[in-house]
Amino acid sequence: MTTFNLNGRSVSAHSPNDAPLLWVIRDEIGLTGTKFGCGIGLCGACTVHVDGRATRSCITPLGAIAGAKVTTIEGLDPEGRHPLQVAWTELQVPQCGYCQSGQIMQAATLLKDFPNPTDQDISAVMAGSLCRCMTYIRIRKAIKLAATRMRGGSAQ
Amino acid sequence: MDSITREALENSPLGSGQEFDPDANLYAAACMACHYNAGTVPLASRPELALNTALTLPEPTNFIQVVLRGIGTAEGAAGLSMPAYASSLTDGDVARLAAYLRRTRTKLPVWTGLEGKVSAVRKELAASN
Repeated sequence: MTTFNLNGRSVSAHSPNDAPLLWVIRDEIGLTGTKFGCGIGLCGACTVHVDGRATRSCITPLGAIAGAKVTTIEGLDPEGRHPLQVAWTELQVPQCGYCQSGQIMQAATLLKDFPNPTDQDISAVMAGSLCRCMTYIRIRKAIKLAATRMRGGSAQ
Repeated sequence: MDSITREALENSPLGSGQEFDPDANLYAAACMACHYNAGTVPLASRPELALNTALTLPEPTNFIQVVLRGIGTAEGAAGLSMPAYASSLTDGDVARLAAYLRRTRTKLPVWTGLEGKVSAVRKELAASN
Protein backbone atom coordinates (compact mmCIF):
# COMPACT_ATOMS: atom_id res chain seq x y z
CA MET A 1 0.00 0.00 0.00
CA THR A 2 1.27 3.45 -0.93
CA THR A 3 0.15 6.57 0.88
CA PHE A 4 0.38 9.99 -0.66
CA ASN A 5 -1.46 13.29 -0.63
CA LEU A 6 -3.86 13.86 -3.52
CA ASN A 7 -5.40 17.29 -3.93
CA GLY A 8 -5.03 18.00 -0.22
CA ARG A 9 -6.28 14.73 1.21
CA SER A 10 -4.34 11.68 2.24
CA VAL A 11 -4.99 8.62 0.08
CA SER A 12 -3.79 5.03 0.33
CA ALA A 13 -3.46 3.20 -2.96
CA HIS A 14 -3.45 -0.58 -3.19
CA SER A 15 -2.01 -0.84 -6.71
CA PRO A 16 1.45 -2.38 -7.00
CA ASN A 17 4.51 -0.15 -6.70
CA ASP A 18 5.20 -0.27 -10.42
CA ALA A 19 1.65 0.78 -11.40
CA PRO A 20 1.67 4.06 -13.29
CA LEU A 21 0.43 6.93 -11.13
CA LEU A 22 -2.05 7.75 -13.92
CA TRP A 23 -3.83 4.39 -13.49
CA VAL A 24 -4.04 4.92 -9.74
CA ILE A 25 -5.51 8.40 -10.14
CA ARG A 26 -8.03 7.43 -12.82
CA ASP A 27 -8.94 3.81 -12.13
CA GLU A 28 -8.33 3.28 -8.45
CA ILE A 29 -9.25 6.71 -7.09
CA GLY A 30 -11.63 7.70 -9.88
CA LEU A 31 -10.47 11.21 -10.80
CA THR A 32 -10.70 11.30 -14.57
CA GLY A 33 -9.65 14.87 -15.38
CA THR A 34 -6.14 13.58 -16.04
CA LYS A 35 -6.02 11.89 -19.43
CA PHE A 36 -4.27 8.93 -21.00
CA GLY A 37 -2.63 9.96 -24.24
CA CYS A 38 0.44 8.17 -25.54
CA GLY A 39 1.28 6.18 -22.43
CA ILE A 40 5.02 6.75 -22.92
CA GLY A 41 5.51 10.22 -21.46
CA LEU A 42 5.79 11.96 -24.81
CA CYS A 43 2.48 13.79 -25.26
CA GLY A 44 1.74 15.55 -21.96
CA ALA A 45 -1.97 14.62 -21.64
CA CYS A 46 -1.32 12.84 -18.31
CA THR A 47 0.53 15.76 -16.69
CA VAL A 48 -0.10 16.23 -12.96
CA HIS A 49 1.93 18.02 -10.30
CA VAL A 50 4.19 16.01 -8.02
CA ASP A 51 5.39 18.19 -5.17
CA GLY A 52 4.25 21.17 -7.21
CA ARG A 53 6.01 20.29 -10.46
CA ALA A 54 4.53 19.12 -13.75
CA THR A 55 5.14 15.38 -14.13
CA ARG A 56 4.04 12.82 -16.70
CA SER A 57 1.94 10.48 -14.57
CA CYS A 58 1.72 7.70 -17.17
CA ILE A 59 5.38 6.73 -16.65
CA THR A 60 5.72 7.70 -12.99
CA PRO A 61 5.56 4.54 -10.87
CA LEU A 62 3.31 4.71 -7.83
CA GLY A 63 6.16 3.63 -5.56
CA ALA A 64 8.24 6.63 -6.64
CA ILE A 65 5.77 9.15 -5.21
CA ALA A 66 5.11 7.62 -1.77
CA GLY A 67 4.53 10.43 0.70
CA ALA A 68 4.53 13.08 -2.01
CA LYS A 69 1.97 15.77 -2.70
CA VAL A 70 0.16 15.11 -5.97
CA THR A 71 -2.16 17.65 -7.57
CA THR A 72 -4.43 16.98 -10.53
CA ILE A 73 -6.49 19.40 -12.58
CA GLU A 74 -9.33 18.85 -10.08
CA GLY A 75 -7.12 20.22 -7.29
CA LEU A 76 -5.25 23.00 -9.08
CA ASP A 77 -7.64 25.56 -7.62
CA PRO A 78 -10.42 24.82 -5.09
CA GLU A 79 -12.98 26.49 -7.35
CA GLY A 80 -11.45 25.76 -10.73
CA ARG A 81 -10.54 29.44 -10.98
CA HIS A 82 -6.76 29.32 -11.33
CA PRO A 83 -5.76 32.28 -13.54
CA LEU A 84 -4.88 29.80 -16.28
CA GLN A 85 -8.32 28.18 -16.06
CA VAL A 86 -9.98 31.59 -16.18
CA ALA A 87 -7.91 32.65 -19.20
CA TRP A 88 -8.54 29.28 -20.85
CA THR A 89 -12.29 29.75 -20.52
CA GLU A 90 -12.30 33.39 -21.59
CA LEU A 91 -10.27 32.73 -24.71
CA GLN A 92 -12.14 29.50 -25.49
CA VAL A 93 -8.85 27.67 -25.82
CA PRO A 94 -9.99 24.05 -26.11
CA GLN A 95 -11.41 22.40 -29.17
CA CYS A 96 -11.92 18.75 -28.29
CA GLY A 97 -10.36 19.40 -24.88
CA TYR A 98 -8.66 16.05 -24.36
CA CYS A 99 -5.14 17.40 -23.88
CA GLN A 100 -6.11 20.56 -22.06
CA SER A 101 -5.86 19.48 -18.41
CA GLY A 102 -2.31 18.40 -19.14
CA GLN A 103 -1.65 21.65 -20.97
CA ILE A 104 -2.91 23.69 -17.99
CA MET A 105 -0.93 21.69 -15.42
CA GLN A 106 2.22 22.12 -17.52
CA ALA A 107 1.50 25.82 -18.00
CA ALA A 108 1.11 26.28 -14.24
CA THR A 109 4.66 25.04 -13.71
CA LEU A 110 5.83 27.22 -16.60
CA LEU A 111 4.44 30.34 -14.92
CA LYS A 112 5.88 29.37 -11.54
CA ASP A 113 9.34 29.17 -13.11
CA PHE A 114 8.95 31.97 -15.67
CA PRO A 115 6.41 34.53 -14.42
CA ASN A 116 6.97 36.64 -17.52
CA PRO A 117 7.62 33.98 -20.14
CA THR A 118 9.10 34.78 -23.52
CA ASP A 119 7.79 33.01 -26.59
CA GLN A 120 10.88 30.83 -26.45
CA ASP A 121 10.15 29.90 -22.81
CA ILE A 122 6.59 28.95 -23.72
CA SER A 123 7.70 26.94 -26.77
CA ALA A 124 10.37 25.08 -24.81
CA VAL A 125 8.35 24.21 -21.73
CA MET A 126 5.14 23.42 -23.61
CA ALA A 127 6.88 21.47 -26.41
CA GLY A 128 6.15 18.15 -24.72
CA SER A 129 2.41 18.86 -24.53
CA LEU A 130 0.80 17.93 -27.82
CA CYS A 131 -2.61 19.06 -29.08
CA ARG A 132 -4.12 17.27 -32.04
CA CYS A 133 -6.64 20.10 -32.53
CA MET A 134 -3.73 22.54 -32.98
CA THR A 135 -4.95 24.97 -30.32
CA TYR A 136 -1.37 26.07 -29.78
CA ILE A 137 -1.98 29.70 -30.72
CA ARG A 138 -4.78 30.09 -28.17
CA ILE A 139 -2.79 28.17 -25.55
CA ARG A 140 0.04 30.67 -25.98
CA LYS A 141 -2.36 33.59 -25.77
CA ALA A 142 -4.01 32.25 -22.61
CA ILE A 143 -0.66 31.64 -20.95
CA LYS A 144 0.34 35.25 -21.63
CA LEU A 145 -3.00 36.56 -20.35
CA ALA A 146 -2.75 34.52 -17.14
CA ALA A 147 0.87 35.56 -16.69
CA THR A 148 -0.03 39.24 -16.93
CA ARG A 149 -2.79 38.85 -14.36
CA MET A 150 -0.66 36.77 -12.00
CA ARG A 151 2.04 39.44 -12.10
CA GLY A 152 -0.62 41.93 -11.03
CA GLY A 153 -0.71 43.77 -14.32
CA SER A 154 -3.85 44.88 -16.03
CA ALA A 155 -4.89 42.35 -18.61
CA GLN A 156 -6.01 44.18 -21.71
CA MET B 1 25.50 21.60 -60.06
CA ASP B 2 26.33 25.25 -60.57
CA SER B 3 26.76 27.50 -57.57
CA ILE B 4 23.62 29.52 -58.17
CA THR B 5 21.44 26.39 -58.22
CA ARG B 6 23.23 24.94 -55.17
CA GLU B 7 22.69 28.13 -53.20
CA ALA B 8 19.06 28.27 -54.25
CA LEU B 9 18.46 24.74 -53.01
CA GLU B 10 20.29 25.39 -49.74
CA ASN B 11 18.05 28.34 -49.03
CA SER B 12 14.85 26.76 -50.26
CA PRO B 13 13.84 25.32 -46.83
CA LEU B 14 14.16 28.74 -45.17
CA GLY B 15 10.88 29.78 -43.66
CA SER B 16 9.57 26.26 -43.32
CA GLY B 17 10.33 26.58 -39.63
CA GLN B 18 11.38 22.98 -39.50
CA GLU B 19 14.91 21.83 -39.11
CA PHE B 20 15.06 18.09 -39.29
CA ASP B 21 17.10 17.02 -36.29
CA PRO B 22 15.65 13.80 -34.87
CA ASP B 23 17.98 13.89 -31.86
CA ALA B 24 16.86 17.37 -30.87
CA ASN B 25 13.24 16.42 -31.54
CA LEU B 26 13.48 13.48 -29.15
CA TYR B 27 15.05 15.74 -26.52
CA ALA B 28 12.29 18.31 -27.03
CA ALA B 29 9.56 15.68 -26.66
CA ALA B 30 10.95 13.82 -23.67
CA CYS B 31 13.18 16.15 -21.64
CA MET B 32 12.89 19.84 -22.43
CA ALA B 33 9.66 20.64 -20.53
CA CYS B 34 11.54 20.05 -17.28
CA HIS B 35 15.18 20.75 -18.14
CA TYR B 36 14.93 23.96 -20.18
CA ASN B 37 16.51 27.01 -18.58
CA ALA B 38 16.75 30.63 -19.68
CA GLY B 39 17.61 34.00 -18.33
CA THR B 40 20.57 34.77 -16.10
CA VAL B 41 20.57 31.77 -13.79
CA PRO B 42 19.49 28.12 -14.13
CA LEU B 43 16.65 27.28 -11.73
CA ALA B 44 17.32 24.66 -9.07
CA SER B 45 13.93 23.19 -9.92
CA ARG B 46 15.06 22.75 -13.55
CA PRO B 47 18.18 20.61 -13.36
CA GLU B 48 20.50 22.08 -16.00
CA LEU B 49 21.89 19.17 -17.96
CA ALA B 50 24.99 21.07 -19.09
CA LEU B 51 25.97 21.32 -15.39
CA ASN B 52 25.02 17.76 -14.47
CA THR B 53 27.63 15.12 -13.67
CA ALA B 54 25.50 12.50 -15.41
CA LEU B 55 26.73 14.04 -18.67
CA THR B 56 30.33 14.73 -17.67
CA LEU B 57 31.35 11.36 -16.23
CA PRO B 58 33.65 9.20 -18.36
CA GLU B 59 30.91 6.54 -18.64
CA PRO B 60 27.20 7.08 -19.40
CA THR B 61 25.99 4.59 -16.76
CA ASN B 62 24.51 7.20 -14.42
CA PHE B 63 22.76 8.98 -17.25
CA ILE B 64 21.26 5.73 -18.49
CA GLN B 65 20.19 4.66 -14.98
CA VAL B 66 18.39 7.93 -14.34
CA VAL B 67 16.59 7.95 -17.69
CA LEU B 68 15.44 4.33 -17.40
CA ARG B 69 14.38 4.20 -13.74
CA GLY B 70 13.66 7.87 -13.04
CA ILE B 71 14.08 9.52 -9.65
CA GLY B 72 11.56 9.07 -6.84
CA THR B 73 10.44 11.94 -4.65
CA ALA B 74 12.38 10.49 -1.70
CA GLU B 75 15.62 10.43 -3.71
CA GLY B 76 17.90 13.19 -4.94
CA ALA B 77 17.02 16.86 -4.62
CA ALA B 78 14.05 17.63 -2.38
CA GLY B 79 10.82 18.31 -4.22
CA LEU B 80 12.09 16.99 -7.54
CA SER B 81 11.27 13.74 -9.23
CA MET B 82 11.62 12.29 -12.70
CA PRO B 83 9.48 9.74 -14.52
CA ALA B 84 10.92 6.36 -15.51
CA TYR B 85 11.47 6.05 -19.25
CA ALA B 86 12.28 2.31 -19.28
CA SER B 87 8.91 1.40 -20.76
CA SER B 88 8.89 4.44 -23.02
CA LEU B 89 12.23 4.70 -24.80
CA THR B 90 14.07 1.95 -26.66
CA ASP B 91 17.76 1.26 -26.12
CA GLY B 92 18.35 3.15 -29.36
CA ASP B 93 16.35 6.17 -28.15
CA VAL B 94 18.24 6.40 -24.85
CA ALA B 95 21.54 5.98 -26.69
CA ARG B 96 20.61 8.80 -29.05
CA LEU B 97 19.67 11.09 -26.17
CA ALA B 98 22.94 10.28 -24.42
CA ALA B 99 24.99 10.96 -27.54
CA TYR B 100 23.08 14.14 -28.35
CA LEU B 101 23.39 15.64 -24.86
CA ARG B 102 27.04 14.65 -24.49
CA ARG B 103 27.70 16.27 -27.90
CA THR B 104 25.70 19.46 -27.37
CA ARG B 105 26.01 20.04 -23.59
CA THR B 106 29.67 19.15 -22.99
CA LYS B 107 33.01 19.43 -24.78
CA LEU B 108 34.06 15.97 -23.61
CA PRO B 109 34.94 12.95 -25.75
CA VAL B 110 31.97 11.06 -27.16
CA TRP B 111 30.63 8.03 -25.31
CA THR B 112 31.07 4.82 -27.27
CA GLY B 113 29.05 1.61 -27.49
CA LEU B 114 26.04 3.41 -26.12
CA GLU B 115 23.25 1.11 -27.25
CA GLY B 116 24.95 -1.92 -25.73
CA LYS B 117 25.47 -0.04 -22.48
CA VAL B 118 21.80 0.95 -22.34
CA SER B 119 20.83 -2.66 -22.92
CA ALA B 120 23.16 -3.82 -20.11
CA VAL B 121 21.78 -1.29 -17.60
CA ARG B 122 18.23 -2.24 -18.56
CA LYS B 123 18.97 -5.90 -17.83
CA GLU B 124 20.52 -5.00 -14.45
CA LEU B 125 17.48 -2.94 -13.50
CA ALA B 126 15.07 -5.70 -14.53
CA ALA B 127 17.06 -8.22 -12.47
CA SER B 128 17.07 -5.98 -9.39
CA ASN B 129 13.31 -5.46 -9.43
